[in-house]
Amino acid sequence: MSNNQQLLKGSLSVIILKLLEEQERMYGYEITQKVKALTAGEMSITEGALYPALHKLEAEGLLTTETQVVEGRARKYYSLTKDGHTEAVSRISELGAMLENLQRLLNRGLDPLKPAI
Amino acid sequence: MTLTTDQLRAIDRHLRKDNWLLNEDLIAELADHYANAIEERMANDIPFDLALLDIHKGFGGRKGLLKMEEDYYTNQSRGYFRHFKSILGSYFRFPRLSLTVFVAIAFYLLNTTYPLFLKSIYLGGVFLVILLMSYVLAFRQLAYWHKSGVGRMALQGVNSALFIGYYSQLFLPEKLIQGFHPVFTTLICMVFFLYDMSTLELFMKYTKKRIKTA
Repeated sequence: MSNNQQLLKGSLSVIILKLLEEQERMYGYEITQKVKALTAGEMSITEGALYPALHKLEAEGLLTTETQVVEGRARKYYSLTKDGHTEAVSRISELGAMLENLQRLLNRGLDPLKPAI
Repeated sequence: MTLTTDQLRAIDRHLRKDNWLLNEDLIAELADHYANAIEERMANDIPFDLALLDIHKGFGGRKGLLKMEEDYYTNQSRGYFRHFKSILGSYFRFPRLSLTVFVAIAFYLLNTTYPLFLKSIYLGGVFLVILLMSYVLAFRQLAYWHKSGVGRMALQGVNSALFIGYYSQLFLPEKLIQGFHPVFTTLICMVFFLYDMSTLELFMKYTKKRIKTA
């Protein structure tokens, strides 16, 4: 697994919640394609990571599903529950804060930390 | 590019026979994913077999698929338990609280008027019907999923214990039953009522949610 994908795996649930906040309902394959398109192919979610994450979020009551027959196949659509919407906002802001801190840490190369006294 | 019936059958065979998946809902979801991904690759001139292999790798091979199915069962059980708790809780909140209070008063009055109400064959009949309905639904689910998660096993375990408990008390001496305070007997009735109504609703909800595959 590439480093990129390891980082992605840790924030996968937030990505799913964010995408579903923007689009009312999505199915698994659509999510993988959306991530690929939004990152211009730089990031891709593996199927082996996506589905367990979706099932976990569903079990936690953050996502709800509905099945529709499309082109003769059963397609499972995921959408946010009321709790899911609340959790999405909180997890997105948490990840945002963490990324900000991470960026601060990574960008302090020219400004070394003062030694602790 | 739309897949042919034979290609769709090949995907189904790949999931069931080659990779030993059993869960119908998961198979249906993954089959749709495989079909979409293969269609996209075939549009870029990648042959069907190569596309299938490529997607299979994305799932982590057979090992990955089997692990996914195992996790699916675990997550489902967690989901059931969470739902069960929320249904049970709804009987203690409005509007259902009114029903709980009404049933509790009815049980209390019946228990005070007929001290042997708990041993009544009519009450036994009502409970038996509710329990049998929940069991029929539960066994349908168990037969369908082949496996059962810890949560559902626990639910069924408690249900069986209550079932045995209730019916064994039917054979308790009448004197002992008459000695019970009506509040206690009402409590027993309410535990049965709420537990079975919640179990029944849970199973009906999940039976409805199942993916129908023709």
